[in-house]
Amino acid sequence: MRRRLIFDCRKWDPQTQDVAVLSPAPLVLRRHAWRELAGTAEALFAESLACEEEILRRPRLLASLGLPRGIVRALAPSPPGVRIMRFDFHPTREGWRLSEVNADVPGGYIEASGFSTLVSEVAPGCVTVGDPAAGIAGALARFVPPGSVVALVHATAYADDAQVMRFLAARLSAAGFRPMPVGPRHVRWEQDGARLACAWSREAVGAVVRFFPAEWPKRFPLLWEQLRSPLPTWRRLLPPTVDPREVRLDDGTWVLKSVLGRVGDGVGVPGITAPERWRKMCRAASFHPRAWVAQRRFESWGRATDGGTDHLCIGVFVIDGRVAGAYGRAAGRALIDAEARDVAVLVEAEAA
Amino acid sequence: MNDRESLFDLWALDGATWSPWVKPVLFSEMDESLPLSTAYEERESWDTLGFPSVGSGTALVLELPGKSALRLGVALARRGYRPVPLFNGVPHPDGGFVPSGAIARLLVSLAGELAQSGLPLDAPPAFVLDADRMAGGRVPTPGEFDNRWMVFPQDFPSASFLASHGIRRIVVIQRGTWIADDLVEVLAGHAKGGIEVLVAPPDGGPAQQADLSKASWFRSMFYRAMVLLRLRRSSAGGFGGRVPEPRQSGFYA
Repeated sequence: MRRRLIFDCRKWDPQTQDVAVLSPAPLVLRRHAWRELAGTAEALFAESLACEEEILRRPRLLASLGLPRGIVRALAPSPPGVRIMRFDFHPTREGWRLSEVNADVPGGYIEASGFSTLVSEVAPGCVTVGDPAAGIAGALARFVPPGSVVALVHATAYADDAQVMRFLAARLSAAGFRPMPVGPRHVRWEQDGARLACAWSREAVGAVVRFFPAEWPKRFPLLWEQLRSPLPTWRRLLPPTVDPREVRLDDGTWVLKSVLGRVGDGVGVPGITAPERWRKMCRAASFHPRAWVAQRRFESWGRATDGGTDHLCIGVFVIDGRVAGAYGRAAGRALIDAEARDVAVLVEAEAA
Repeated sequence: MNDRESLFDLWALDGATWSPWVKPVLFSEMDESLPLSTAYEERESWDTLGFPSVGSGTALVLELPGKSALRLGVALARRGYRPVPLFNGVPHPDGGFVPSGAIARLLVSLAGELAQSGLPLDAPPAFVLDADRMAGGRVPTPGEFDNRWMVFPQDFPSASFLASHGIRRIVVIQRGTWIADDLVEVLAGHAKGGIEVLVAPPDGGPAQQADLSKASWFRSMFYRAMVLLRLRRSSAGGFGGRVPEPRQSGFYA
């Protein structure tokens, strides 16, 4: 399986320090559980877009998000295009909880498309919950004809990013496009559109897939009371999220998240994060409260495994409003970070 | 040896202790970005007599220009060390800013020699790097494909894993004693975990204590800034750094 992923799916990081990141045990969901997740993710997508539109119409709200001024100045209503979000769900005894949305450049395509498909081939009675890479190809086909050059813009010096783009390139190529993995400076905008500006090509670009992330602000929930958008699904699933100045961080019931953190890097959970690091985070949140949020801790439900307990996170992809697959991760502690393992997310096949 | 998967299996032998750390990038891209070729490569002989003996609880880090590091790694296989290629630069059909074609060809042409070495599965590791991975500080021009790369703690086994497999010291084989910014951060972590870190020249000369105080405030901050600019250590999505100007690498240039 590991080798198939390396050579068929360009999985170039199957090992992270001492952790073999590919979990041998898939997560198999009941059909009703997946239907619930999929419907919820699509509702969250619609609510998120409505919120974005409202915030962009009311620029004063942007200042509350903790975004750098340069980014705020650059924000504008999105031109027509493909929109992808990934909503991260966690099982708890009270039902699903949402920890965040990756609303800009979510990753996990190799795992959600490639890994899950390979595992499903050896898991009788199970099927995948979707294929986000195929979803992207399908969505692009609504905008550009077959044969078009698709610039896959990413940080070319990072194998972690490049592997995703090479995987997507193979899938887009199979769908009839001409994918070009390039860096941001390899695309030049001219009057008649975009054109490649690299040593190996000057071709016109039909579409750009940006895998060079901007940011998603974790202070978004702090705006909710000022928004007219009702956000019922968000309010139901996201734990209370507040400015860290409003709570006692030492009572053990709050998680700290840096506004610009990602892959668990800027997340502190009391009792799980090393005490020294937790103290540093609390100090940083005290000095720079606008760079942090405090989120009410929830008790993740862990599944028992041979090696202990797996705490799970299911990132559900939604592409242009339709659910497109899921990226599973598991960790031995209730914190999903860079040490988490990848888990194939499958669902029971319908009875014949 | 002309099948990329068989080639990978040879360098990352199933069951060998250190195989999980072999970086798959170059192997995975052979045939496509890299022509799989057994073209003759000029020979470079190494005298490995002065290197620490196997059984001394030593892991080696070969921090030399890629081709030299790889040749030394295979020469050390005859001494009982298992070469573990950690090349993580992304190849490009156009060559890229840090060309990796020659290293890929060597992976092919040295495979037979490695196969004949008969190393035991638990042979101590010689981690093979390319000292030119950051192109000596040069910056790519706008049209070039930026495939510089760095090493991170996640690319190596931890100090506790090394210790649990009998490794008590790491010897960095390189020219000079100044250890690269990214590598010094990795090694400082190992030293903190109780592993002795030494540096030695490639001619087998005496090893000396590595100066890891160079993981000092300035170098550490520089390294962290580089990392923070692009924090992506897995494909989980997103990032957490400020990018002053979008460049291919996300590095300040």
